[in-house]
Amino acid sequence: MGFLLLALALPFLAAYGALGLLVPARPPGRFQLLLRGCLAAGVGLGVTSYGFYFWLVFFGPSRQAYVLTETALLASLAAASWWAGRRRRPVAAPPPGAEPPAVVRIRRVVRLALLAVLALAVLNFVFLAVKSPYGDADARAIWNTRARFFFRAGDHWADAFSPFTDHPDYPLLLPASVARGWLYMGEETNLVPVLVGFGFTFATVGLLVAAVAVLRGASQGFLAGLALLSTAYLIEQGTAQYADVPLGFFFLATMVLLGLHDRFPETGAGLLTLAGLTAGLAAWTKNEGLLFLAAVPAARLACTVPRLGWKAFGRQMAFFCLGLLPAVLTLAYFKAHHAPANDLIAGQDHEAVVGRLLDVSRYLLIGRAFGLILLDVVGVPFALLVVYFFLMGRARRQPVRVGVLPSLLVLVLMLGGYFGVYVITPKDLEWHLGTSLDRLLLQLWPLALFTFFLAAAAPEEVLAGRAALPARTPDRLPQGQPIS
Amino acid sequence: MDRKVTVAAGFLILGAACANALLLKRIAAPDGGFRQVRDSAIVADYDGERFARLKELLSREALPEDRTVGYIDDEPPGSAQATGKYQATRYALVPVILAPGPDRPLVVGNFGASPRRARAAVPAGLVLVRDFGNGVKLFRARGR
Repeated sequence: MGFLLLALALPFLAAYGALGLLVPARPPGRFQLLLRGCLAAGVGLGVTSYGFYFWLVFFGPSRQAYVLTETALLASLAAASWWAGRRRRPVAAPPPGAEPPAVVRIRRVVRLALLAVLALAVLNFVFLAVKSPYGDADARAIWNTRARFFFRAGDHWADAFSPFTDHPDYPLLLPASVARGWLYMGEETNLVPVLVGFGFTFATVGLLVAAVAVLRGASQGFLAGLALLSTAYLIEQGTAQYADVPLGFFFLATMVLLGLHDRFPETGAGLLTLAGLTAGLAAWTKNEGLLFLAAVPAARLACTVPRLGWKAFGRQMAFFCLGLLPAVLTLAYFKAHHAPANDLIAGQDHEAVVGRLLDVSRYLLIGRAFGLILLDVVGVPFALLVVYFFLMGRARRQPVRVGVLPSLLVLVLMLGGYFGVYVITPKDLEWHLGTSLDRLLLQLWPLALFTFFLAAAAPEEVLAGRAALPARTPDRLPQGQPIS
Repeated sequence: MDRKVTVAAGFLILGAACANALLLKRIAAPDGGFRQVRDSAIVADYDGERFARLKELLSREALPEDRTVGYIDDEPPGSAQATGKYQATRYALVPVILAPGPDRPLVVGNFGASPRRARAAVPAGLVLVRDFGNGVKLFRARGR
């Protein structure tokens, strides 16, 4: 058990320290710490999964050497970040402005409600995980089968990509993270995939709350968390031990980091590089992440060039691509040496694709499925959001809305991409929709909520007569300050 | 508090609380409609007792160079049951690679309670190496 704690705590601490150095310029505060902590949980696991894969490639599965080497590296990184962080001048937060009593009251109520619902959600997760410790079908067919090969097969670990396994082309963040946990423990236990699922599920909730709180005020952040927790399917999928919740986390993390950069341009390029890193981790989690890698620059192009020009766009993309580099190198190696062709691409021929593209009935079927499954997966929170927007209206201030358009564009591009893949899929369309669309929509749901709560008016805004931004999220910040 | 804000926040709080309370109720029910809960007992059996002796034998037995053994069962080919059974067996037997069909030197059989169905599912070219009980059998291809 001690080794499992080490396997989880070390990447977190190292990532937490490194993020503090990479991301300057926000005064300390609870939400900045929560944001950094949630990002560190996902980034830490993601980056160590790159290391685990390359260790297997170059050294094979040698437990002692791997654990010692990685522990030394991560502990050094955590210590160096802590030491470098100490040398920075501590920055005082701007004094909170006087807030109307109604704002204080609503914040207190929604915070309490969020904590209560969060406790219930954690309880649900634990109960469901106890009742289904092996996760759902694809956990055994794909993700944990691969992890077992990495852990059990010794020098034949690459048998994980045998044509007799399912989807051997899928990237490895999740199975590498699970196998890495087993390697630390020296034994196989269902606890590792359950904890990985738990971490990503609740880091997604924490990240959404913190990001919306930083950008739009605490009450709005708490309400965003409540909206996500009203999606029961998130908990189900979290316990299923699939890669869709981790993928949704990295989608959200990328757009949050870009949103923070846009809102606080004085923070420099660290956020852009970090966004590239999280986008790369999305591509290392599932193949849908590759579509995300195309959607993000396209959305940035559409939003940045008209506002700031080509030069600014090019500079932003350069820093973004710097963060993307580890994923590009890892994926290139993986696709060249281990992954066979994707079944959706390999199963295509030109004439059949044209035939499917011209078949109107496919579009109707997919459109209907999108509507029905959207209602099934997020019907309850969607209805709640409609009521919320009807009552609260939209955010009025321009700086607040800056992050909305890029995220909205990414969502539209991703949905369009998913729609297009279904149109040309060589698999039976009804079967394909029935077995995957709910998970694809869940991947995008945290990002959709982030976008919504940026766009909708916050309680603080409404209660202050839409006259001012929340006192705890000032529009302009002093330059060059550490995030916490 | 402004009434609009109270109602809007109240809706979200109520919705989230109800969604989680209903989920808790479903989880508390015997299977609550969760496939993963339904399958859990089967997978636990496959992962534990059912294949334990076969796994032990395969770890000692000289496997083919490609570490691949064949697989047969008595479910209707292409059915959901057949897919589920094959995937659970494959998961249990890692690091052995399990290839569907009898065209391998060694073949694992995973059968249900009906001996008649099990007999019908075994092709003529296979010789029984060992019966591990509970419908788990290991075959060798005749002449290999």
